Amino acid sequence: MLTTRIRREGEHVLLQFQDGAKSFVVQLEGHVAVELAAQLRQQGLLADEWAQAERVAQDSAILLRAGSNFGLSNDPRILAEARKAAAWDSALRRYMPGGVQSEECFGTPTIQQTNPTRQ
Amino acid sequence: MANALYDKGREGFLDGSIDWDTNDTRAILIDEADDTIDLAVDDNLDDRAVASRVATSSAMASKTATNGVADAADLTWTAVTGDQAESIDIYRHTGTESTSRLICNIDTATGLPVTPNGGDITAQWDNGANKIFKL
Repeated sequence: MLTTRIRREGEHVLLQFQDGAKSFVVQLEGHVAVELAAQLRQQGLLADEWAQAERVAQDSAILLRAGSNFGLSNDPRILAEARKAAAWDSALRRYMPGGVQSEECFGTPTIQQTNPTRQ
Repeated sequence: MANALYDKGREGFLDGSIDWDTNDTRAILIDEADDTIDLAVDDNLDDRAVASRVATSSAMASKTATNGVADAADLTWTAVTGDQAESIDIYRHTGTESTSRLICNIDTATGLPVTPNGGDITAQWDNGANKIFKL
């Protein structure tokens, strides 16, 4: 079974993969390890989002149907699915009737009144 | 409530019965004590009680529809008297109330409600991105 260990030795970070008797060690400088961690986190979040794409799309569809025009993902494929679900998902149509709320926007006018002129 | 398009006004834009920048569109100060605004049901001017119409403007001028944003020159209701007005209806004026399609109701504006004092009342449309409204 593959195990992973991360430890620091002096100014280096050691990333050790062990599979039984076989071992593979990657030695990273500190700033490289920091950059790698950030990239891993970002890609991990994207992978997690994709793994839960159906749920993210469904949650986004609920928001869209409620008139909140912002998706929970930046992935256009998930957003497209959300728009489709918002319009056509039978459960949403049943429990959130009235269709997808309109997205029209209004400005805020100013009403001013002048005093009547004396005749 | 909030500023909103009438459902039938929205329909009018889609089926071509409203042409924002060429039709004669006017604005009415509405006394909501004399009528209830129903955005989902009201379709034409005859759904707005006569008693609720405090003042009607002349045709809105300099209308534009660029990028789906409706704009027009500021408008003035002249020498207005009558009840307090809580909102403004914009509608397409055909000369016949039963075919004059209600477009939108604006009840959120700086200066609303306004109680007429016999002087002029001016509506200065928003100069931001949404102008009067954006589809």
